[in-house]
Order: sequence, then structure tokens, then C-alpha cells
Amino acid sequence: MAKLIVNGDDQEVQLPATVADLIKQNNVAQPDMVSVQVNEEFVDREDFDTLQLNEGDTVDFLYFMGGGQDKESIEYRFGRLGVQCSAGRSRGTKTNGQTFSTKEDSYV
Amino acid sequence: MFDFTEEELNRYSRHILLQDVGVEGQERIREGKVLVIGAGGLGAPVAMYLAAAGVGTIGIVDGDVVDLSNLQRQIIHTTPDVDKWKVESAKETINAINPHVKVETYREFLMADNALDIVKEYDFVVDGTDNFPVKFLINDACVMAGKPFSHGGILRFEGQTFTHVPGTACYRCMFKTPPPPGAVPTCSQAGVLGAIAGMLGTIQAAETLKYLTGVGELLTNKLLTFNAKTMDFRKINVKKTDKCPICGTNPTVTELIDYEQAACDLHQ
Ligand SMILES: [Zn+2]
Repeated sequence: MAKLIVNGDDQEVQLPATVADLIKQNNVAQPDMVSVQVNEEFVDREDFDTLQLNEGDTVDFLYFMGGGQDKESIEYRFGRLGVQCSAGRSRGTKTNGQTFSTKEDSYV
Repeated sequence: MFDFTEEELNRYSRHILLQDVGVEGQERIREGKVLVIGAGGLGAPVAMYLAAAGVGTIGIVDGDVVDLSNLQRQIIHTTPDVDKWKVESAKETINAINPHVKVETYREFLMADNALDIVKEYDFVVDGTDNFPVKFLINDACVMAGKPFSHGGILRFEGQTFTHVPGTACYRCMFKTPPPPGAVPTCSQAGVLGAIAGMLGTIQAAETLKYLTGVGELLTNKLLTFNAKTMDFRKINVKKTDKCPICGTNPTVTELIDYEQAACDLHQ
């Protein structure tokens, strides 16, 4: 077992392990939205499956934290953007009318 | 050279007594122009402390009205303010705390088409908003305009904040793009302990005053996170990255973007 520092705490990890393995072991709630730093460098999402961790590595998981969106302001913004509300998730739009996909992008 | 009245010297005496602040620091606070975006859970304590501190000009951006459910944490508004415009209610409270403060109100939401015009008038910007499209918009507008800002986010029992000044890590260095609409819960879906907003907002207000006075070390290149359940506070070192979509070497974000909100699930 190797010792890593994960979010500031010591953690015993069986090597070899990739960033993706560590995400799984830590039961990260929304793995497709976590930002990961290894030794204080951000890791590209496409490297999560391949980047091998080493003894003593410092790993930080960073999570999105928003706040309390109020319904009224959402409706207001939608009105100004001219976006029609449909069920479920939808794609974003830029003001210039181009469709802008937020779904396929990475979230590192 | 500092033309403080007797009343002002008395009002700000506990600042002036601080060796690091003094009359000069208080003068810098009085000359300061701070934009508070959002008069909600975070913006409320920020605006109130900045008003009490004697910040010369406070701008407030919010296009919303006060709702009864806001009062659990948005302490700048009181029960008689329900249904008033938030910017008007906030202005009244600020004026009551400190009539020396000039309040500029923007009864609108920050959007790609107004962000730069509003932001450019101020020395420091405080993100007191609650949703990712605006958080990214504030980041992008401030990076483009070369303005320092304080970022803040809260959810349930947790909070996170960092301070950006030109040349240090920005929000997109940490999170490249907003989460898909609806993917990350907001407070209105997941809830938040009201006092958490106060904890984070007062940190943001302190950062603002530190910036204006030049006292201490800002939360630049650091993400401060806390969990009020355990009262664990943690500072994570973060770096400005060359791959950042806006402040990196090959920026892909070259204009402001109105990202779509997660609205639909709230309409039910
Ligand atoms: Zn950046």
C-alpha cells in the first residue's frame, strides 16, 4: 500500500492506480464534474484514466459550489435570452444565436 | 490632508485604531468603489459590512424582488421589504447603516451585454450570485477588464471562496466550463443553512477590505473551502494554468457568454 494525501488527509492506496481509480475509491458523487489536482497541477479530464499516481502524491478534488438560485431570476434570464423551457436538461445558447453545447465539454 | 469629520473619525475609530489600517487605510476604503453582484445570501452580509466599513461607493446588481423565503439568510432585507426590488431594499439598509455611502443600483441581472459596462466602473467586484452561468460571466468579464474579484459559493453546509487579481488563478483555471444545466444542485433545490451565507459573505467582505487597504495576504491562488458541520477549513493551493480557456496562452473564450440556466426542473 502507498500513502497519498487526498484532500489534505493521508490515504492508503493500492498502486498502480490512476486518477480515475482514486475518484472511484473516494466515491466522488459526480465524477464527470470534479476538478482534480495532482501535486498542485490540474489534470486534464482526458488523462484521468491514464495518469498513474505515485507514493506521496498530493491529490485535491475540487467541486462546483453555486448557491441559492431563485426561481424569479431564472425566469428573468430565460426571458431575456429568449430560451424556451423544455423538459429535462437542454443545450445552452450563446446570445449570437449559435448553439453552444455544454454537455460534451469537459469540466476540469 | 484627510478631511474626515469628527463624526467619521468616531464612526470609523475601531478601524483607525488598527495599526495596519489607520487614517490612510480608512481613506482608501472611502475612495473605494465596490460592485456587489447579487443582493442575496452572500451579497447581503458583504454589502452591509462594506457599508459599515465606509466604502465610498457600493454598486448593487440584482433584478429580483424580495421573497419571504429569502429572509432566512438575506439579512439586508426585512419582513416589510417583501415584494420590494432587492436593490431598493438593499439601498435603504445601506443608507440606514451609513449615510456616507453612495449607492448605485442596477435593477437588472448581469448578462453578457451589460457586464463589462458595469464592471469597468469599479475597483473590486464581489460575486454574490448563486448560479454558474453568472459566476462564469463575472469571472470572464473581470479577467477581460483586468478587475480583481472575490468568488463565493455555498451549498447546504459548505462554502468555497477565492480572490482573483490580474495574473492569478481564475475560476476557469479551476473549472473550465459551467456544469450542464441542472447537474449541480442549487440552494433552492438542496437548501442551505442561512448562517453559512454569513460565514462566506463576511470572508468576502474581509477580502474586499484587505484589497482596498493593502493589508495582509489575499486568497489569491488559493481556494478556501469549509464545511460547517465539522468546522473544517482548508486552503487548497491552485495555480493559474496555461491551458485556462480565458487567461491561458491560447484562450478559446474571447467574448462573454450567456450560458443557459437549469430552469426547467424548477418550473414544476
Ligand atoms: Zn484562468
